[in-house]
Amino acid sequence: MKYILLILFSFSGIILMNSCEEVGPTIEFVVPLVDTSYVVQDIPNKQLKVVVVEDFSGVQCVNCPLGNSTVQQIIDVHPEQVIGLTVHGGDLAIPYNDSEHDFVSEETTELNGFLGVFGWPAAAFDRVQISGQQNVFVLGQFSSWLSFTEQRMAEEAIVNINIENNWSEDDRTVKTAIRMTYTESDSEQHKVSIFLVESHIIDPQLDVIGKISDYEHNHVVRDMFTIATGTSLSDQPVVAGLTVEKEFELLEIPELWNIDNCYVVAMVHRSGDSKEVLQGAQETIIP
Amino acid sequence: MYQSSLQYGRYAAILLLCLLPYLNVDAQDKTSDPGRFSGDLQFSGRVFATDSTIGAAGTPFYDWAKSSSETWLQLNYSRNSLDLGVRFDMYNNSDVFSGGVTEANGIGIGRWFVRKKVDQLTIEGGYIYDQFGSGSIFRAYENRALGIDSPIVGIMGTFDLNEHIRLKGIAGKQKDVKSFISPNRSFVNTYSPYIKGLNFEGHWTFGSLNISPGGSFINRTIDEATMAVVATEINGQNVDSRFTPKYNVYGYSIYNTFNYKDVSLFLEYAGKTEDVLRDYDNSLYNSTGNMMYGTVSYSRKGFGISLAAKKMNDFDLRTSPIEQLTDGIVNFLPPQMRQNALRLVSRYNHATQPLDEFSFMVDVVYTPKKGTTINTSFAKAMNEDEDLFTEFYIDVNFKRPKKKFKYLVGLQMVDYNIAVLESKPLEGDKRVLDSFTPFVEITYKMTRRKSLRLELQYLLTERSRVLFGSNKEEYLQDLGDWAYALIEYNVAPRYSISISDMYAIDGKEHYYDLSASYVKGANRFSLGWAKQVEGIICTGGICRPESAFSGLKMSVLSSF
Repeated sequence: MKYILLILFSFSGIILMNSCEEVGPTIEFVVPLVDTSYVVQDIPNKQLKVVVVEDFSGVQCVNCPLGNSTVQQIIDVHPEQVIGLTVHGGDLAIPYNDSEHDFVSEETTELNGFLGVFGWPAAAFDRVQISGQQNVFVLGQFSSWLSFTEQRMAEEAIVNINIENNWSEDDRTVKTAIRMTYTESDSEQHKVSIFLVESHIIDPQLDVIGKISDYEHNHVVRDMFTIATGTSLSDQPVVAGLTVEKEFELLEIPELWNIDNCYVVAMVHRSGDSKEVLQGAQETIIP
Repeated sequence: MYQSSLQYGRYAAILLLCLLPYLNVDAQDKTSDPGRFSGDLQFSGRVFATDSTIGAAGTPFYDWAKSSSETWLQLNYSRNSLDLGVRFDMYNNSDVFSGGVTEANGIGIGRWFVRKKVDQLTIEGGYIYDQFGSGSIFRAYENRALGIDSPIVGIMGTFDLNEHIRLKGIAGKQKDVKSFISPNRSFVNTYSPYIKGLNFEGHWTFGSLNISPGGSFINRTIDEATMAVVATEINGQNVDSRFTPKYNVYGYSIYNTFNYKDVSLFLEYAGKTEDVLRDYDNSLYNSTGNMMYGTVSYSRKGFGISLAAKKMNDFDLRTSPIEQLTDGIVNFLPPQMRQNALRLVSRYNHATQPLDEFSFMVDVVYTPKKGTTINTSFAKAMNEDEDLFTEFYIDVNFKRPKKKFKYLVGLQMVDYNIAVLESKPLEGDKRVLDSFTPFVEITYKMTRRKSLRLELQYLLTERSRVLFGSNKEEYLQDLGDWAYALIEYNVAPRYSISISDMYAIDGKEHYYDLSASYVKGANRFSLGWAKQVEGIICTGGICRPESAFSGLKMSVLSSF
């Protein structure tokens, strides 16, 4: 018995070392090309609240096409006020052998972990914990997604977002310039997350009827200009009129991605315990 | 709510201590052992006298404080196998934490502990001083001269598995002595990161062979608030040097001591997982670390030789990378250098460089005949780029039988990389101070109890140019050459009085020291007047700057 104790004691340290994978703090590995802020006296009118619906999906997730189509229906009903982002992650997002595309990236994997997604399909509505839900994402419950979205649409946007993109065919570089102007003050510091999104991608997807070889994947997050958890907006206090301009770039966009179907999505969100998305915006890369 | 629970804890501890003699802590024990009280007192005080010629001016001590003191009063109680202790610490305008730059104040309970042995298990709670093996991955200790006080505030269990094997586990947080000396001190002041450790040690004897293997494991977890500060600092660095820091670092060590007749061999390997470290240019970086250490010694009557070598890479282990200098150190890495006692011989010491160091030392002691002992030592430390410290030392200690004189004669040569070890912006040949220090000490035993001791030392700098004719450019190395003389009169075991002068040849400045001490039983009193040059104070490889001092020094040491 004593020697069993000794053996357990000896290995407990090794066990401890190997049992702990960590989620580290947010480190800004991306530096904006432009990063400036100032306060304008002429406060602009508030934009319409745009809700960002993150659809957590996977090509081998049998129920995910239902989630994809639910999001598309919501966008069809409210095209000016809803942005969809399809975020692939987890074991169900591993591409098939005959898949041409891999929709999983470091950023999409990190986003799944950041929001604690453990099942697919799931959706987050401005990353807010909807009343009656356990998490900031919703598993299934597709029939409620429209009402969840419309709840968020009723909120007022406290920040306006404008996007200008620039595409260079020679080196396949996208530059995106984001200008954010606050129309109200706020006590917290915020972050901005900027996505490169592509739609109309034809590639296999598992569905309830079986594997669909020519499934159309839409709103797929291909990459991010910022780190997955967002980049800090500004050190300045958030007051009405605060305007922050940031410019980022993504180099060497793969040839496989059809730039004509790509667009940039930017969202301003809280950075503390609440991850609430305050406003979203999108802009095509090719006008 | 948090503050009131700390106050409640303080009152509960005091009440427990007062009531304890009246408690029957062991229902089975029928002895009438009333227990034992014991303790010790250490007091040191200074009165500051401004002397701007040596730089003893312009700090709070000389401007307005005028005096300082540190007091540690330890009280212990033992009964059966229960030990209790409490230590009262008081710092009044103390200079030990800053080396004479800023004053520190703090009064309160600096330590308390409860220890109980139940069969093979010993449990201790409170402020715990201990180490694993050589201390390479964990050492909780105190060094009052350097203002280091780093016990673990938590719990430790020691289990004697059998007569050969001992297991130990510890968990808690390291005491933050900086918080103890701040206005916001609370009853318990600790760093926020959490430390846990396991250790086993064994001992077996096979005839003339003794084997003592051991292994240790340590885990430090940074808390959220501390990590936020670290992340902010990383995010402020150049983007190419940013990285995602780890909350947890895991350290381990395995070691073994072999003793066979006159030979002793100690080998140790220690490592740690990715950790955030602070580089010499003060930037943060991420790295694993390791250390290899070995010593071998042989001794028989009249002759002894020992060799030691150590190699370290990125082996700094702290509560967090926010802590610097002597703060928050979790382990202990002693230098591979002689610990010299003579004033000028000990002027230049090597400070352990945990990020990058290879060092070795050879010591030989030879007694050719009774009454004569020769000590020689050679030590060297280097990093990847340059030598850091080299010392050659030799002394001869001789005393003729029935003669009243005892002599110590020797010399030391040191190459001291002042640019690295004292972070001075020096280039080329000027980076290294090379010294030559002959010394002699004569003790005259007047009677069985009375003796007179004389010390003479001379520290010559620019050794290679002055003595060996190198064509190096002449320049002042550090503060230049020194001469030292001391005469001491002792009446054992009670009285001692000494007067010394350390004279700066180039600066033409005398640093006098007049001291007297009195010992009565377990009490020692000392008083002295001194002028002390600024310098570096080192103990066990840990060093920090010390400002110049002028004034009165006093101390009381008492144990009861």
